[in-house]
Amino acid sequence: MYVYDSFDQKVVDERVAQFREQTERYLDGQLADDEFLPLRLQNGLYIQRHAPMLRIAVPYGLLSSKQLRKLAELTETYDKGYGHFTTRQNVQFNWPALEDVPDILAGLADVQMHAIQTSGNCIRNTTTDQFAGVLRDEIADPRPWCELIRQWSTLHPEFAFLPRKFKIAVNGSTNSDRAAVRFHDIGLELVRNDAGELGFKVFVGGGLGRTPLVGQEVRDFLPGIHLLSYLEAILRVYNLLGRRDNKYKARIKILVKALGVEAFRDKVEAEWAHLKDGPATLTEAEIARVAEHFVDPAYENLADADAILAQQKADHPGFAQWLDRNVYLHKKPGYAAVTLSIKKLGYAPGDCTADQMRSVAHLADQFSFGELRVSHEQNLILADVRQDQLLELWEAAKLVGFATANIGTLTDVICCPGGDYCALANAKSIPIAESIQAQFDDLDYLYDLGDLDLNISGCMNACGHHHIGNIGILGVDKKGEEFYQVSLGGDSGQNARVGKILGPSFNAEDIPAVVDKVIQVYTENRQPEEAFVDTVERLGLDPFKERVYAKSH
Amino acid sequence: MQNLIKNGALLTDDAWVLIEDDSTNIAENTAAILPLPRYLALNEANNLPTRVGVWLNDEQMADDVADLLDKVELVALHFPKFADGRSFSKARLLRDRLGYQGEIRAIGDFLPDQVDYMARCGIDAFACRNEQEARTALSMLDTFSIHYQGDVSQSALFQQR
Repeated sequence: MYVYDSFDQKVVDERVAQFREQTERYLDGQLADDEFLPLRLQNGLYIQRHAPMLRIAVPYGLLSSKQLRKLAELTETYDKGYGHFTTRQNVQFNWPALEDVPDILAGLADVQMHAIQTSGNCIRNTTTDQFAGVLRDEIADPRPWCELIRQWSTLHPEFAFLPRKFKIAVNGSTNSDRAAVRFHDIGLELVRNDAGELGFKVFVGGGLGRTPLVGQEVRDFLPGIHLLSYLEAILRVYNLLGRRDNKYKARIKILVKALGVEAFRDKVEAEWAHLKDGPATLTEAEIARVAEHFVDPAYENLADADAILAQQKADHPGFAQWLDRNVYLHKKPGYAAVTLSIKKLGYAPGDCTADQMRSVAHLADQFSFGELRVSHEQNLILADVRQDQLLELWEAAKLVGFATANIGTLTDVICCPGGDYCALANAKSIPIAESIQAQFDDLDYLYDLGDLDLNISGCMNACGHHHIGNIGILGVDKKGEEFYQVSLGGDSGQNARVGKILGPSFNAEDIPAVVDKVIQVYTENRQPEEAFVDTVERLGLDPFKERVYAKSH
Repeated sequence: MQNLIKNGALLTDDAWVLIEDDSTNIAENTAAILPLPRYLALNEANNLPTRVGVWLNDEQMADDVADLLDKVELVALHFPKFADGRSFSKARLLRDRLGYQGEIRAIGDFLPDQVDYMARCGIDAFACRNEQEARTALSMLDTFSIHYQGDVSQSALFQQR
């Protein structure tokens, strides 16, 4: 992973000093609430329902075991001993005291971490596929590009006060899109042109929230060296022309929609014509310098351990299920990528105690070169595990409760913190996740249902990505009471689609039964090997509506 | 104007007067910063003050003054509220694209905490809201000694690594 040099370290150290001074000025009464707001937001600090919330950047989801241990220490010292992994691969502390935040940031800087631009109307943490660098079908490793974007966007002087927040995602895989690039302000897809040169297909204007839209292609090939100047052109057009009169219409997706993609592209290209080959043009030396941090770890030369695994599967049925759901193919023979499920019945999806963090750090050291990744599905990944050590890892993960073999199934729920924590939420989301997980606790049944994303957001800001869940649940407020709207057919991947709303919303206690009825329609109508989302696409919503809204007799 | 920072120092004898709208009377021999429409009207009437600058509201763009940059000593960019970041891009366009060498002055509602970024975008004078903020702003002009991106005075860090 990327290791700071003295320049990078100085940036985060100076940022800590700056925020310490700003916090002092605020506590001193020299800065008004509304003036401190954008300053603290650009350091990840929200004022929440019960206490401040600090969002810590995990650049493109990559963490070392040392960093994770530091997070454990910081949450024990300054918070309530747990953290929350988010759908944008970051970590949140939900209970820090404002006065302590400068010290927390200093602690993060000690392990090359920060909270820069994790909120506010600026360029946020760039995200990517949690399996980046170990995929078999990868055009190129997206992580060096994510790091180049991180450095370029960090404290960018021109783009710190944009009309609204701005999120960039990069995907390097040919057959899948786990980074959901078509649902970002800018989505970048690594491609090669006919001459074999590496570059990007560029999508702009995707997003969730109140107006869910799929991003549109503005460029089919952008050579890698021009990445930053092209991003500057897009951001400059947006900064100057994006709406600022209504925060719900301020995202770049609204600008792209209002202008039309052709006119928007013309403006970007016209701006880029001035910037192309200018000082922001990357050098091959810089691309190589950053890429050197992402070379393969010291893999052993191994063969795939098929025979050993077959025997172990026969001996341990639970292990067989875990291999099937939680273990992913690796580019290197004899290795595998493993998802540790940190979603457990009775706990908020993404929550992780300090002890659990230390346990995962230990597993990362023991089995995966001391590194791990956060997925946007809010799980933790050990990306470089020897296949002949999988059984040992499974046993160890079971002991700490991370071996639930439910990855990609109905109970691997994506869920925002919701009304229990968040000041924006209309409704609670975590208890909804729990009630569904409790209803569907039979693993064999879940395996039979196969791949099925269920996403829950507590309000239309859509932090739980409900629009792109195969089943999406959205908390809504009706005259002070909490209701839940259900949508079907959303897809975050290459067949990017926003789910369609089933009909009138439901009470919280009805949700498990509603989901159950939806699943019944699927199991009764599916064709062999047909995934849930494909059945919904084929049948349309009507049969689901009929079942769910049928009058009981 | 009062509480002005220019060339990295707090200035007490700034001669420029901000002319807020079309009806404001301009006293003789005033160094006047005119709203763009007023500038255009006085220019048309061949009646510009001897020392003249122009200020842009939030909707007016750098291109709107491209033709008069060689005639004005000063371009002021008005921040309607500190969260409105359009002027950061306008300043860069004035410097990088249009090659403007005169003073670019930030006016209106901005924070001392923003002057570091403003300076990097090419703004070189800051009319702060009060004296305390001007002092704070002065101390914040060089908050960061390392910059990843290139700006109006420096190339990107990657070119120095």
